[in-house]
Amino acid sequence: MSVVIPTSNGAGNGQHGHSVATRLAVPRVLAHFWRWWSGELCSVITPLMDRYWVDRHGTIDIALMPDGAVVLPPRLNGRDVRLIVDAAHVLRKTVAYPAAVEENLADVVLNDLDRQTPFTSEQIYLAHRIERRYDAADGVARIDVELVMVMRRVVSAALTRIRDAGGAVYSAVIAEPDSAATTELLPVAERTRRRMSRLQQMNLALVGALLLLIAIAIAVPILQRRAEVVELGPRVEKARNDAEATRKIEAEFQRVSQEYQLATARKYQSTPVVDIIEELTRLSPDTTWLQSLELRAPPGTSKSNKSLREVQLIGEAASLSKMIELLEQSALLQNTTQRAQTTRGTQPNTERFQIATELKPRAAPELIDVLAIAVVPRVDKLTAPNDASTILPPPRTREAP
Amino acid sequence: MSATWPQTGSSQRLRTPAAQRAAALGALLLAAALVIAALALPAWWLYDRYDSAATQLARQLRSYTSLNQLRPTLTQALEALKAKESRKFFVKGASAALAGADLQDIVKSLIETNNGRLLSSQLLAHKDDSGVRQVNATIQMTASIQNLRQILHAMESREPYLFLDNLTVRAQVPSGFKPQAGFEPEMFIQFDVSGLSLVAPVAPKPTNGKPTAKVKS
Repeated sequence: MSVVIPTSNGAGNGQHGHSVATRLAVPRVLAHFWRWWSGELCSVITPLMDRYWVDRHGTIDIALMPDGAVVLPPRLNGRDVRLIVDAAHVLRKTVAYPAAVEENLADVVLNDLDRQTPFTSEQIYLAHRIERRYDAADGVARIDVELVMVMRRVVSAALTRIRDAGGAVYSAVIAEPDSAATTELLPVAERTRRRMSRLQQMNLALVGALLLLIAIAIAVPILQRRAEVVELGPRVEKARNDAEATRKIEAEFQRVSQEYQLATARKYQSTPVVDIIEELTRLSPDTTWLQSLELRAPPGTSKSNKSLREVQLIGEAASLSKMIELLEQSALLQNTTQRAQTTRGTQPNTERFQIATELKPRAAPELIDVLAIAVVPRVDKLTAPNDASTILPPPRTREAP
Repeated sequence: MSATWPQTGSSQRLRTPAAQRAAALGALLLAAALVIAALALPAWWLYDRYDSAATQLARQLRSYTSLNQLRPTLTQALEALKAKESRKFFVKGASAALAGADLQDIVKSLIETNNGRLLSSQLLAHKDDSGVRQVNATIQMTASIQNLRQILHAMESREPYLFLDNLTVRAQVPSGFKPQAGFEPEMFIQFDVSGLSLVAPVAPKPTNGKPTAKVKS
């Protein structure tokens, strides 16, 4: 794509692409890329803008004829005008420069103007474009630059007529005969800024509104969540402080509950010895004489069954088998066995025995839910203390014998 | 100015104007994507940060609130438990020696109150488990059958709780012995008695479970 840039031949005549890159002092490669990229995008976007954006009702092209005449429409007042200069008015010259001057080509062309042409910069509108890059025979990289010139007096007369008729000239271009491309002649300082039509203003407003809505759509959820965080912060802090106090109560509750449980559970596990003696007294026939009673863990009891207890009885009775039968009927005792050979007792009609019987394990009473006792119903079982919430009922006190 | 980019290397494929234009449009799309990303990513990061914080705070609030709702229940349950005075189930004494002495005092008092005769009392090794210390003692005594029942009943139905084990009761008269009226023969009795005491949070010095006192009467 060939891009033609009007050469700066007037004060404050800023250019796009090349001069922007120069002002930013970007590296040469980036400057080159920028020139290429902006030029390519201009070539794509400009026709699109002309087709879809430019308000044709407010814009008009006026041709500058080969004889210097311009044909003005009847009503020009307030309309944007593009002057199309006929190729007959154009002078062209190709000049070779070292490629090193490309970065400041506009200044170089202006300074070299009086050497290459008989004109001064005040006499002409000047544009230039790089036609070709190549390595010369001497090995130096060179560029061929085409200078495009139109006499200022020819164009100025036309511009004056148009402006006098009320038109606003925003562009003066040379229609290239062999392509659709145009060459801009007017420096930026001499162009009249194009006015926007109502439709363009509305379109711009709509685009602005669209961007604003997008920004709102992005910002509102963020602000809402932020407000939520700001609002939740103090509530969580207060709830955390309350929860700390609740946890202390819970820890105290668990400690007291554990103390209570340990003592009562242990009490429930052990059968009162006085009950065992009472039971033996109740079950034994009147002819029974106990010489010795021992209560201890049976030999070989494992640690996992350390609560198992055995009662060993040595004495004399009328009938050992009857005694075993009676002991087996006990609610406290089980697995009564003979431990030694039965011999004759010291009293008539008695047998000397040695038997052992196991204590039945005591069934723990049903647990009481301490939290259920309280008036306020439980809200969340998961956060409630688990083991501590249920306790054993207090053991009953036996009546004195 | 005629601009082609780039000029060397693999760029030979971009020689045609259409390819150059496509490359420029591609670069434009890339630049637009970068601009959108530069705007959208911080916005997304910010939203995600606030969203995570809000979600976490809401979860914390729910958790704390549900715990706090239990507070009245817990308070009442604690008061109900405290009313049961669970400490009265434990023998007094911050150390094993003190608890053992307390245990021995209680047993001695019970035996003598119920007309038994204490022969000896010896502390055994204590055992600590789950913040509770079990202090043990071996008791030897003599008593009649009626007094033995009263002593055992007194020991097993009082507070602090006492637990009896390894009981041996041996008659000291032969089978068929017929005592005089109003006279009950004495029996030799030996048993282990244990009580529970609460372990202080900071124990001053471990005793390695060794007996700390021995009382002979």
